Amino acid sequence: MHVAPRSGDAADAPGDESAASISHRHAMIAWSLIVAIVVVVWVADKAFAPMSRLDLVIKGPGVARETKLSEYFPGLKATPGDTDVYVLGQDGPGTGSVLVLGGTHPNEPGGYLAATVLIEAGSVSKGRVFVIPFACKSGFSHNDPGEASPQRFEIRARGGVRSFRYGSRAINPLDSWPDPDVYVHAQSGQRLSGEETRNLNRAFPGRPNGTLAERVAHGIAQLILRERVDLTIDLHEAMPEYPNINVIVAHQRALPLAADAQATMMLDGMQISLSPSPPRLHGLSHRELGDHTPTLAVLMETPNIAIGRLRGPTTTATVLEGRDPFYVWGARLGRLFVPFDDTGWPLDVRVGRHVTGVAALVESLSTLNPSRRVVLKVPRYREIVERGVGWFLNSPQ
Amino acid sequence: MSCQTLRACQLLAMVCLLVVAPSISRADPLPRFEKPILVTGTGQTPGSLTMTTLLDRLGIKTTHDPIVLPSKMGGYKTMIVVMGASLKGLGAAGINQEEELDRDRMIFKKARELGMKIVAAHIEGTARRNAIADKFIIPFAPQADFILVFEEGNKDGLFTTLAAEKKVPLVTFKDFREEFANIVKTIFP
Ligand SMILES: [Zn+2]
Repeated sequence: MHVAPRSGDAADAPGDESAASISHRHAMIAWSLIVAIVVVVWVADKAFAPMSRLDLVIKGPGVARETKLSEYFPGLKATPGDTDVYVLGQDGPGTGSVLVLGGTHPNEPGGYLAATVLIEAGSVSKGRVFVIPFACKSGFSHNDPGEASPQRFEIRARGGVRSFRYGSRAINPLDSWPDPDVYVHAQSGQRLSGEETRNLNRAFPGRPNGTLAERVAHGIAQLILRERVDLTIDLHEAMPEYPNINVIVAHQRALPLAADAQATMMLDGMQISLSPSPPRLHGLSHRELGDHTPTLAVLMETPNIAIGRLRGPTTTATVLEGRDPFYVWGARLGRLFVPFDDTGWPLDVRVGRHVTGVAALVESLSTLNPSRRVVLKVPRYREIVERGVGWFLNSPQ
Repeated sequence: MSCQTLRACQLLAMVCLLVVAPSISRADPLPRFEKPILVTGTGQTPGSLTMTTLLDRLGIKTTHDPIVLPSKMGGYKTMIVVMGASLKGLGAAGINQEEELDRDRMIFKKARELGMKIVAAHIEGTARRNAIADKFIIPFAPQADFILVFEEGNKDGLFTTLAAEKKVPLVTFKDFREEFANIVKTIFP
């Protein structure tokens, strides 16, 4: 029996091995390597391909139409920026329209789950509500290295378990590469660090021939213009040590509407602040969509410790339950901008706040501008908190 | 229960009410403030807009001017000053802290000259308590005739200390739906 020498024995291999046998051996090694590479690529592809598919949204009876952002900006067709748009309600005389953005930052699940609840459990009897649950689609296809974020988290829905991706704040570098050293916001000349090139919420109002982020932002702005969107609500989450939290940030034209909605929420027992959109901070939805389109642009924030810097171990429980002893400690030291005790800020509460905020803002639009009425029915805050978000998500079967 | 006992009970209840009711209103520590009311703020906090909107929803009409100047303060009996500043707001909006502090000092001085009553308020809780906001609270709260504070923003007892300093009446509340609504409806009849 011929035993092939181990590589370590190569130096003292017998010199009488024929040239044909050596070449045959090399060919075998080459073929095995090629097969191994194909297998590894195939397995990796199987593992990574689903990452670029959006999470399941099971539309409820309120959804009248489903489309893609590329309907409004064809330049997005067949790109990782082309995301789903759901339309609730019908156009009609004396009615208005509202756009809700979730997942502008895909590591802020309070925003995209609230948008999902609107699609699955909301209904519109006057006017239209456009919902884009995963605005930065590409950002859902990866997450941030070094952040220990879970890839997915699960929510028990009626009739089954629903799984949602925990993405990255930014667009996947596979879809937008390389980053420049400095990101220059095209319309204002504002300079930010290069990685902000992939941040959708620094790319508004966007450009048709710009980066992927700018093209997605342009698509959203085109939807607003074409559909005459009166009110645009961008749903976000922030770390509890960040000053702008549990807040409605409003473009100056939207301040009276935001204050009216805030009063509704406060008189209903929910504490929320109001913050005018800083005029010198560019690329953000509430600044640029308000400046470059007629829409009233607002943004809302809830607290998410999974993106916070004071957190301990990061698990799916961190995302779902929003509890962490280090944050309780931070609150005792007066370092946080939200109250924080052992109950934390569970996802159910955050989604409940966002859904309630959307309802209050839509109601204020109808009060302040009756000719652009939108009547939206959504689950109430108490119900969402007591039953859990899963109750308002449809069965995966 | 016999008819007579029932009568006696009713009579007793009425007597109790007659005795107790005036003592409740006497114990009521809340002062009253006259209209018209001007709402403004220190630190250019957006909380002044919140205050005006809340009062409007509770049926109390006010005039809102977030950056009112002394020349525009004539004709009001009461000034509500919402104190605080949003860290992000002041910095990003490029508001100069010293200039804003000057304006705040001027409106307090002018209000005194005009004989106006001043209600100082903090309604935004933890979100609007920070080192910068405190610069717009500490010098002004003790100058007021009445301090109204959402309890969440008084966890460190700052407002209690400031009120005690100049013996300014202070009322804190835990929620807007009931407590806040009842207080403002009482003090702005
Ligand atoms: Zn965000």
